[in-house]
Amino acid sequence: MPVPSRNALVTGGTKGIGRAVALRLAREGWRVTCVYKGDEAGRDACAQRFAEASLPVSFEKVDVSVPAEVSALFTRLADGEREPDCLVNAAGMSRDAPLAFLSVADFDAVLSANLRSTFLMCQQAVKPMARRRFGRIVNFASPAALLGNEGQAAYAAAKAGVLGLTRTLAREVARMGITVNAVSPGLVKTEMTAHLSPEQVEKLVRRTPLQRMGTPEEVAGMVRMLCADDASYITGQCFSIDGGLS
Amino acid sequence: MQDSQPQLRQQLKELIVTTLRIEGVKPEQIGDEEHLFSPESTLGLDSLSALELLSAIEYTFKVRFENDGSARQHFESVATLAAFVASARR
Repeated sequence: MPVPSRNALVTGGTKGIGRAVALRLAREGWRVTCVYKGDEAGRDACAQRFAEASLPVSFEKVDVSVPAEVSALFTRLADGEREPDCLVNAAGMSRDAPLAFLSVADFDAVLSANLRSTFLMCQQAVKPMARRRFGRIVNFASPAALLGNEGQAAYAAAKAGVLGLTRTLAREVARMGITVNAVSPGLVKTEMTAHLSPEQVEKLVRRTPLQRMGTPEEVAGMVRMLCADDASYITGQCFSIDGGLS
Repeated sequence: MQDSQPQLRQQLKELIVTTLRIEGVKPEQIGDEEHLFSPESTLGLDSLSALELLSAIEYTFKVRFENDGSARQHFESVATLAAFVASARR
């Protein structure tokens, strides 16, 4: 059932899973704002997808790991009456390397893009949600956080941090009608996995009981469910959408 | 025109009582210097309530608390909150 006049904010919303989530929520009647860091071509392609579906969308160019930029974003959203009822933190990135070769700079960059950004966005988004005594936050974890994954020490640590943040925030804001959950997508066909060789994909698929890659739309379906009014008694949870991997 | 400190303090006390739905306490019963979130406070507030109050103050007075750790000091009492709001509105 459509949800009228509610605002959704999706970080990493112009590409991959974030874009699929944004499109799905827009189809459900949410007023969607997609946040992107700087890829204008990605933004344009996303805008095209929304236009083809005759769905409205707004864009905000923000580095969500920078406190001042996040703060300014929420000021603009308040001025435009677009403060989020629902926040989906899909922005993230990975720089994989075995521990011996993982630079401190890359470790910090991965934690910043995945964990610091999620913290900053949540910290601002809960304010309007607390006033309205309604809110939905969906963060992005990873099977790497749950199981570990060779070559992903930084990414796994960041996503494990996201899980801890999710569970703690869920407890802190539950009394205000705000739910905070996480999804943990497995191997999903997106720009983020496009660099994998066919051999690497095949190896990963072999470890996946459903024996195939997932689609962004399959993850978006779960996110959409967690954002719905019906999900009012679900909080502090992590849902794996990984073909049975974990 | 800026509100005077007594006016601001009264507005904040009303906001505290209404936002946090405090029963049995009238705004004027809250002392200007009373510690809002200490265990000794008669208001019975816990620190998780601070988010609701912070949000209400930002919305009502069109100010923004920095996330540099300074908010805790501003939330010490009605007097410190009023001082922050007055300076942030300038």
